[in-house]
Amino acid sequence: MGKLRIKNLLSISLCLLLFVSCASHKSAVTLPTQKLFDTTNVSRYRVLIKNGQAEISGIMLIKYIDNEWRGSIVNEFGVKAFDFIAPPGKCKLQSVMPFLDKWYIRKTVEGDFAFLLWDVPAGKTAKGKTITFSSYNQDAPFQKGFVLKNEKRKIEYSFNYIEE
Amino acid sequence: MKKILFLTLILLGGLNLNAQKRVMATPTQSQMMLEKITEASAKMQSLVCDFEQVKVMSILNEKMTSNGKMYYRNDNSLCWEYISPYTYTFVLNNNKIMVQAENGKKNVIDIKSNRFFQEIAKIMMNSINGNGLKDIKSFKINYYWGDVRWEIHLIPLQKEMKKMFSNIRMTLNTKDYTVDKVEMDEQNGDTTTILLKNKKFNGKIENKKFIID
Repeated sequence: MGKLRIKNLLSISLCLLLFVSCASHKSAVTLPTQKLFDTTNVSRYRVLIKNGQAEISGIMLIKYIDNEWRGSIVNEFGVKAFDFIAPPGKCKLQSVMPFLDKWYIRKTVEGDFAFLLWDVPAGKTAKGKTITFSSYNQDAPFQKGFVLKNEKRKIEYSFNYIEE
Repeated sequence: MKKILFLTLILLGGLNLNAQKRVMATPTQSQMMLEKITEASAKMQSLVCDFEQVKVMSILNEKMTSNGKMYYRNDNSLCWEYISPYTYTFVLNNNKIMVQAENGKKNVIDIKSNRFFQEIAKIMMNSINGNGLKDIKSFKINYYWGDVRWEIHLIPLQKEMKKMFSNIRMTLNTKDYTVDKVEMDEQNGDTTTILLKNKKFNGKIENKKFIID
């Protein structure tokens, strides 16, 4: 009786482990074929940038203009954190808020945004950076909820689409 | 002919309004404006109103509009609630700030230890109670006179504030001498305009609006 119970427990645990593992694989789509952002209209996202205990929340507006991405991240009061301009394969920050305006912050964020805006749609991966989706819709023209993780720098960027 | 006359009158009317908007106040008028605003502020025990915030982003040539409700009590308490298109609450109670984002997570910040929020709180409070007008260390203040509205321009003098804003303009009405509009010009060319609407003065506000926990 005792052996049977242990066997049952073991198989339940295995099933659970398998389920959890499948579930995490399902949510961790890393190579989408669709673009993440809308290329035809301006889009608004809620953004949360986390680095350890530090967090910055705000709103991102992003638009595809003349073959490049342009965007701005502002806090909820409208005070700008930074603007970015991303021509193919690159990203450059502009008008960075004084307390974020450090060369290493710029370099990291520029690298992460270049990956987010250009590498992922082209089907590439960059070492130590992954994107996971809260609700991945292959047929949608753009995605509404996703997280970019920079494992090396331990930074997490969450994006959630704001419906008008 | 009638149409031309009508259009001319409308145009002239418009020009007249614009001209009225930006007449530099004389020193006597400036002093009177300051007195009236201080007097109105002293009488204001509390204020509840709706607000509309319009942020113009120069890099995108786009604007973002958000709406919410504002609660102010003259014991240095302020609650600024964004309702749409996102929810976000900012509560200022003496020297503490609490922010609550959409996910319900609360962050309590000691105002003295966070320069950024210190400046934000200062602008918000000063815009409502008019105390910014006495802060001659932080701002160069220009007064503009009009019959139905007054405009006050605050040009930041301190380093931190200067990095963020080039000019803060407050428009007050001459009925109750309170602020109707605050416009903030950032150094990077963006502007944020906040309109205060449906103002209700001196009503009771539930304490829970200002609780920081």
